[in-house]
Amino acid sequence: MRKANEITVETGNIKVSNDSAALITGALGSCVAITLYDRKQKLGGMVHYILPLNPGGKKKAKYADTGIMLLLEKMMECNAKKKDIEAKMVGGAIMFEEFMDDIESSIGKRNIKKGKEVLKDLGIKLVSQDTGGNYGRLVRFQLSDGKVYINSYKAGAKII
Amino acid sequence: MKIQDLKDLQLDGIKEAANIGGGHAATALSQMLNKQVEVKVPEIEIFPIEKTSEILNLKGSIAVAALTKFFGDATGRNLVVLDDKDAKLLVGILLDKEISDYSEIDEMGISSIKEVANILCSSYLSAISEFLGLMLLPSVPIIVWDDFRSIISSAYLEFTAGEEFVFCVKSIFHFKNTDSHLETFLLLIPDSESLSNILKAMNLL
Repeated sequence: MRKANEITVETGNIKVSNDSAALITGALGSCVAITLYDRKQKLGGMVHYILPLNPGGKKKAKYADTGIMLLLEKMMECNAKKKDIEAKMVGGAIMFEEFMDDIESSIGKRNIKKGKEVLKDLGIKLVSQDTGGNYGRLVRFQLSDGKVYINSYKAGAKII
Repeated sequence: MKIQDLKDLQLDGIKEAANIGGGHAATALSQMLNKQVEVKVPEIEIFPIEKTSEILNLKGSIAVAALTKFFGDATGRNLVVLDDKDAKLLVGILLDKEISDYSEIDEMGISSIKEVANILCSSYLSAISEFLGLMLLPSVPIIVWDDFRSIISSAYLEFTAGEEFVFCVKSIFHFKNTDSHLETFLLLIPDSESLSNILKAMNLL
């Protein structure tokens, strides 16, 4: 099998590509990566957002609410069919659990919650996830089959 | 006023304070490790958070971070970051054995890293608090051993209200008569209300 062309999704950014590529992102602590995949067209995209709510800023991809919407728009521009799109979610860790007075209000938890709400509002099915915990993750989203490979120093490797 | 607006004169002042703190830390480390330790003049870096990887330029992607809270006239958090290799070297010296993998580090190892982080934090904090005329006291640290970009971005997201600049004191501790050295990064993450107090104190210099 030939090695897929790797495209890095920087923190607070979005990338969309087709089946010859793999989308990679790292530094996923309390941040969340959401992947959208159109299995029929082997078309996929990823957003790596850092906060749940956009206070009105221009960098839409940094926030769950505007970022996921923008990712969906970009997928549709590439002719993805909304009914064929499925989502996966990774990240939202609480890196400093012992220091948090209130776990529910942590950025990680809020990022996960908001991401799920936005997907639900957009009518996109969340098929699998690897979220929470107290460790950072690296993500590789393979567009030939839509599989998401997760690597972490503490929890090892996982495929969702 | 913001962190990135600090002037050269003020930065030189902080550098001097960091230098004194580094000296204290080196003395304490020498006693703890039973080795002669020298410290170079520290570098102060102020940079946007997305440049963290570039500026810190750690050898690998894994690092150890000790997070402490500080209290007193200003509140906030300190993050002491050590490269994975340096941390293993340090645990190795303290426990007198060679460490090649994280899994070999037990409670004692973690505890010794905490102790070193505590020395670094307290030394720098006391020098900086003396310099600024503010009372700042550190808590016992917690240790996170993981991908350092995840650690740093999460620390800033969790504990600041959108602060986009990192204030970092970089020091190199050299073990005399050897090739070994420790590179440490101390990141100051003040609470947003306290940041203005700290900057005000700096402004009076």
